[in-house]
Amino acid sequence: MTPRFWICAAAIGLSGVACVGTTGGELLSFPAAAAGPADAVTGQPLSFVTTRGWHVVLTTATLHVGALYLDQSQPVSGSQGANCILPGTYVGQVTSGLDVDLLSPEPALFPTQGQGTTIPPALVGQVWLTGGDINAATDSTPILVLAGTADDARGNAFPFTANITIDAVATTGAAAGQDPVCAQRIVSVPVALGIQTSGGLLLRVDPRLLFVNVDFSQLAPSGTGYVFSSDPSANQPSLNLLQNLRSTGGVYSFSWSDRL
Amino acid sequence: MNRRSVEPPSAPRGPRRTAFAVACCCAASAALAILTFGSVSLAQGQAQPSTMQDVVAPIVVHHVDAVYPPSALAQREHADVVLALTVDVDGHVSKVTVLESAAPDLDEAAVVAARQWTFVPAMRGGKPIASRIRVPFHFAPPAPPPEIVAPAPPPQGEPELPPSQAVPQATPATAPASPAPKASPAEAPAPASDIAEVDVHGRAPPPNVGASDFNLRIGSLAAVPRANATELLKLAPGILLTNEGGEGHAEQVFLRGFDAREGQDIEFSVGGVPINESGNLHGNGYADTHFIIPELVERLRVVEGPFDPRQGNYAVAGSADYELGLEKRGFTAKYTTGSYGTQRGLLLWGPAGESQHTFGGAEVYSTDGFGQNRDAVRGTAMGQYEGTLGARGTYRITVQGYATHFHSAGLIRQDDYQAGRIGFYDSYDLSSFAREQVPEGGDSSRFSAAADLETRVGDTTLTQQVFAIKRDMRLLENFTGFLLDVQEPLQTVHDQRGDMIDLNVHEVTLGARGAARWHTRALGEPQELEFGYFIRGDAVGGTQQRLEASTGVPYKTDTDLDSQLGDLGLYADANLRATHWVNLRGGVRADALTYDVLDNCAAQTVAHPSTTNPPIDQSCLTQQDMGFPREPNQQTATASVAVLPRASLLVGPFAHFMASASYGRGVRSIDPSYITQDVQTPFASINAYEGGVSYTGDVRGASLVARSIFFQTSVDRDYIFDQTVGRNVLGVGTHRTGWVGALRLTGSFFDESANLTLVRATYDDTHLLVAYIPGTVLRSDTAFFSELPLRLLGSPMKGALSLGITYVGPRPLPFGEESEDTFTIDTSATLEWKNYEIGLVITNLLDTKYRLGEYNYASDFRSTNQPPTLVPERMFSAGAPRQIFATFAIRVGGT
Repeated sequence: MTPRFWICAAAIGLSGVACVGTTGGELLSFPAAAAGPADAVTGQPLSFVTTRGWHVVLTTATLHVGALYLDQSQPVSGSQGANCILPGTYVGQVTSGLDVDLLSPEPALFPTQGQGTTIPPALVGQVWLTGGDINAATDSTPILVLAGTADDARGNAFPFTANITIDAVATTGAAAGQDPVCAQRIVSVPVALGIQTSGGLLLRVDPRLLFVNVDFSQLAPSGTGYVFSSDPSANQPSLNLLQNLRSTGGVYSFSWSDRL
Repeated sequence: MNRRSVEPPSAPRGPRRTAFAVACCCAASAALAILTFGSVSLAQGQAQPSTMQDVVAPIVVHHVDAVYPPSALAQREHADVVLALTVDVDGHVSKVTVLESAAPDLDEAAVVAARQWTFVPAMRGGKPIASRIRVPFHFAPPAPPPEIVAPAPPPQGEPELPPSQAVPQATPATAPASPAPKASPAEAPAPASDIAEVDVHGRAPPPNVGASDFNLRIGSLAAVPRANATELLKLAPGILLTNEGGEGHAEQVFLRGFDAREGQDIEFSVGGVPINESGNLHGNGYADTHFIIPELVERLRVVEGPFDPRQGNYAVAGSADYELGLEKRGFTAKYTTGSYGTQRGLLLWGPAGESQHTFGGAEVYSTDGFGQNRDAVRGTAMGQYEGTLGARGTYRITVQGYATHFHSAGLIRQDDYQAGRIGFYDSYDLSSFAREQVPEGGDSSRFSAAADLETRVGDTTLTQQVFAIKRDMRLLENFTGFLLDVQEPLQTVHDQRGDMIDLNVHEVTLGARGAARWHTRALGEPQELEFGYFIRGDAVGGTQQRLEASTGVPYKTDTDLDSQLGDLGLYADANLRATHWVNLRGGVRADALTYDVLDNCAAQTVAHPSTTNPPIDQSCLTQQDMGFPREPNQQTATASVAVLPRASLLVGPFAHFMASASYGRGVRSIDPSYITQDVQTPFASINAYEGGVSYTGDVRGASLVARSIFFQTSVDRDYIFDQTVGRNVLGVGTHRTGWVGALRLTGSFFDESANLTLVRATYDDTHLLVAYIPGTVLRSDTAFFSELPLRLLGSPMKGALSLGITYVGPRPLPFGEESEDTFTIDTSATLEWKNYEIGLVITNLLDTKYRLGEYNYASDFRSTNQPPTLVPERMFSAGAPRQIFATFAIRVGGT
């Protein structure tokens, strides 16, 4: 074994070592889908009783999801609220829109695949309820379309519809920008999932939770039924529906599904 | 016969003596000392042709020390003998003449030794010629007197400084080296047409500190195509250069496992004058070398690692010092034109009869660039005068001016390129979906003046230098498109305004450095001890604003700093020999860094905003926080001292081989924006270890220097690039382990430099790879030169061919990604006839569509009316396609 041998061996060994290793994680594409609650029955209306005792039969429930994002940031609590774009690394995104049938438990695939990285794990999921530019003052895209009937305990029926759009609303001078339109269109919910090299991202939206605290009796009549308004100041049911639409309390749930 | 000053007969540095008893045989070493300090006019080994154009001096391959003759021991006196050596075309000493005699026995000892010297012969026009050089020998008596006088040892080249790169060194002698008299024709000279008379002068370079100390003579490798002086760094191993900021933006330098960004981890200097900019907002230590005219670079010393006590702040990955000089005397005018509207005019002037370190140069340059938004215009001027202080030393005065205006294509998203939304060489600023009114780019200028002197007083060499630098820079960069400027809760409702950064830096630097190097003898060996200092003060103003895309007006101030920075370094450096083949070099350095920073935009957020008086859109806030007022600015001051031990052990018991082991600690000061009042400056510290072996010898008439080095480094706080703020931010600790192989082979008609670096860089906490660090870098520079078998109008023609080959292996990128590898070839050909020269330069000969830099991070350049892309995406800056340039040069004068 000559010195030359050892030098060559070391060089070759180091050459191999230099090429091995990773910075961690992996950038990849993945399928993404959205669906209604798992206990819904395809082709059937969704019946349920709200916290206020209303028996609701939903015959139509469609949500337009403009995009999905997953971020590594810790959820922020506090009075100031978070920015629309979160700090930290976005670990997943699905930037194509999809109209989700909330009455179907079957996942519907987004038109294009999502992109993301396997590390770090996501701690925040964002549902972007927009038809285009998140900061556009006006957006005529119907975000939430509902139809159904709500019965109270006395048997009074309130057939209702909703065709919700999200536009900029007036802001107070003192707190300009405190509730910018992008913040109205983005729902940020806590999650705990990591993107895997197989499977896909599944968003389930439970329309039953959209009606928490909604008093259908205060809806404004329109023609033969009642209508939710896109203006939160219109009435109590509309305000609550819009608040529930941006709720972090279970309307939206992200998971990683091996079946996609 | 006319006198000609040409390159000194460069010798392997450091004496080699085989027998301890022959302690007195310091002649060769002392001779070099005299070469260094005696005559005065030229600095480190460069040719200074006068009447004979383009004469390159002979280069020592082997030298043999003279033995102090026993017959002279009784007197035990110091003595000097000056010889004239005639070196024939084969590099052998064909004739020795005693020019200055000491005593017959001493003369004889010197002659016996000198006859054993061998050289790479002197060159004229690439052809070996006979030459005559002066070599002073200094004899110093041994202490104690030797009992046995052994014959002189066989020659041993010291590999730390290859013969092809060697320069005279201040090797100590017991007695002060006396000035070497000016050259005079030796007796019975060879025919004048064949002999180049050599007048040797020089300055002492620092002692070599191990296998990673690369003292790079540019020489004929200057013919290899290089876009700027930074690319000369590629002659050192492990260098990768990228640039996503345009031609006026400093190159991003990767050195042996370090992402040194724009110089923050490398101490750059030119003739000892610092280039790193302390307090530059774009990166503390930002180093832009574009002000250096490449043709005026004589040599480059690159130390890969912090092993020399002279290395100061920023010497984390290492240091690079450009030595300026102009070999060709006379007036040279050169014009280059070629691809993409590129034009360059260059004027060089080296007054005949003056030192090659006396020169003037000016350059104007413009290009449309090889793609969108890549145009640049610049003007540069450099001048230096070197004079003598009688026979005791030299002084230099150097001035420099440089200004440029340029644009930058920035980075391209891979998905946009693959979808055909943007071209490979395009820029978002000029693309179909551009929204920026102000394209990326900037302005940069640098003006400096320096004066230095080196003199010898008794047995001590003194050096002093003062310098003043005025530096201004503006950078417009947008790495993220429209990602970051989003609606914040307490802002007025607004649309996305874009992420364009407008960064301005204005800096004045004053400083000085100096050293005293004492030469003595102990243990029968020459010993050296040096004390030195370095001091600089920087007054830096820097602002960074964000520009609105649609109007170009600033909408936000990110940073507004006024900094007063100080750096005082003191060092002690020893060069100790226990025997002739064991050499310990090193010492300790202490750097004190002071910060006095006024942050004019210290308050940018409000902890408890009032709903009745929200901050809205102000950047730098005067506010009420829970009822307590505060101003937007804040003064912060602190200081720290870093103590940096450094040592190298060089062992060379066998002829031609030298082994070395080195340890060193280095620091990089942090950005002023990170300091906290009275909290000690958190230096980023590096500990570096390496072991290497070198071979210096002669292979079939060509001089060969080959090295093999294993190294490991650790950094406690590394910088990690953050694209959102456009600069590096402090990160965690990292480790690097690797191997370097390098060789330089210089013959009578060719010059080859090749190196290979393999390195693995990992984070200390996760042991994952450090992103962007190339694991494999291979570089080859080759030049062939010869007189052609053609004559035009009775005059010979000379030709030269050069080739530069670069291979960079895949680089790890964030999120487990890997970049593409790159392989490029640059070439040139020149034809010289009389005083005229034409040339053809082709860069990227294979027209490879390669990516100069690749990154993974979030950006969004086109998300109007659609959801943005927020996950990391591959970004890249395009490497230049094939470019072809023609050059025309004429030289007049030069006698």
